Amino acid sequence: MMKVIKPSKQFMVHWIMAGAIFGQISLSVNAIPEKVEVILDGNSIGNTPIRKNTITPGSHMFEIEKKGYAPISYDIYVNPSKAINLDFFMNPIYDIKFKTEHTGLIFELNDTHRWTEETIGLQLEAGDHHLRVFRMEEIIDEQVILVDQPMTFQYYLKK
Amino acid sequence: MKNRYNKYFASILTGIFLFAGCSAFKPPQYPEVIYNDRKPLISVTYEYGEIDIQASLVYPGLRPDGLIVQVFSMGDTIRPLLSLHQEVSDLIQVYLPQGVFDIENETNFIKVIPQHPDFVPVWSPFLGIEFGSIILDPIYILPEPLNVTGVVKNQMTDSILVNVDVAIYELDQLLQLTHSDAQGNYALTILGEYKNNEDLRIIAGTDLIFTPFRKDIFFGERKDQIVNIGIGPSQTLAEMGNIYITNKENVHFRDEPHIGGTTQFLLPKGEPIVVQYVSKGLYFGTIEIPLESGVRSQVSGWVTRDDTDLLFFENIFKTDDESDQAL
Repeated sequence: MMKVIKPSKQFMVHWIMAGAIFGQISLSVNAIPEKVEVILDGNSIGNTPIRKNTITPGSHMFEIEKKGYAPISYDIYVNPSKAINLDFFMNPIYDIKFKTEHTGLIFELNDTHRWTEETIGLQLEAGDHHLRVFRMEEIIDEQVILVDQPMTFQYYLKK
Repeated sequence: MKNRYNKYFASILTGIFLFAGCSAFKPPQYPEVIYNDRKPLISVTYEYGEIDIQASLVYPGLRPDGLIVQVFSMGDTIRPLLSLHQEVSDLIQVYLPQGVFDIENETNFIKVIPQHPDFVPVWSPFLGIEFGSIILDPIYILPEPLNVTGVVKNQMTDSILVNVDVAIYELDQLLQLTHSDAQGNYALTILGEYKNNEDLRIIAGTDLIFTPFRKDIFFGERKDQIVNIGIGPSQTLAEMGNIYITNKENVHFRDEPHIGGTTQFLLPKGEPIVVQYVSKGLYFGTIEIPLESGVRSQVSGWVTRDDTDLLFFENIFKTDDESDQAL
């Protein structure tokens, strides 16, 4: 036998935060470097650090851009919660001077970017890049180059 | 000649430098930024709220041996979010993470299962919140109620009697009162704590001209009992002759009509008696005595004529000026 007790109309609910009434979640955004403009769902919500902003549960997209850094586009499904904190660590872009003494070579980075000059200035996102070297459309060298600071990259053909 | 040549060459170089600037010595620049699509480092930290549910427990009677408290949400009454066994206490308090409840409809439940065979689970629905505290109304933990049901009939005609009072008493204390419905049925419910009480009895028909129906009941392990109530003289008695009923309390029912006769019973008001012989100022008749076994035993004796009235069946309900009978 099941007995049901109905709660009264004076059913008491204490809200910890007013934002909870509207299903809002407290949002804070930090980034490295500082003072990066944050675009949330196509609208600017200011520069980092961002405090005391709100976001609703569900799907959202953050876009972060700053000169000298690789832009970030981040899709997130925000869970129902009290607060969410996002920290973006932007990847820097370094000026790299690429030099070689060899002639007649074709260089290709990351399967896409090609050049033939013996000396060229490049803007590379920090991290690993895949370099291929061609001569007469034939791959003669392949290596991964690590970019972690502005530098001059001197290429020597392996013997 | 060589000097002149050097001057000429220097002038050209200076001209080029002035005209083109330092850029003349810069290497060509690749036209776009080359990304390696390295995943950016992003840290996402959630802070979840907590839902605190409190409900006070009230035990009007017996206390169970323990409690199991279960919390259900979103209308799911099979798989609890939380199930905990606790000692009997006056307060239950449970904590749940944010986002587990339906916050738009009362499809969330707390189920309290008393650990005792005499108790039944209690469900308490509530509206969820995102996070915070929910304080529910007190939850009453009651032993499983005891039920008595049956039908009220006129014994002589076997027809149902409508709107006859039926009550359950503990000694002289009224516990529950009801009336038979249009089909003659009645139902009484009392608290489960009376299950082992030996002083319970059903009394029915105090509004009728007949002696009220009385029957002792004992529940024990039986939560439901059926007690069919027969009121008035039985058909067997009615077939024996004219029916009179006593018109006052404590009517002497004697074994002999003359002086020296022994009073066998003191009859209550409304007791049917079938008159077989008439003597001056006295009636010889038969009454029925219900035995504990349910058998109705017949006993004959003498009553004073003035203590009885002829029974008319047009209206078996008492008139307003008649006083209540003793129980």
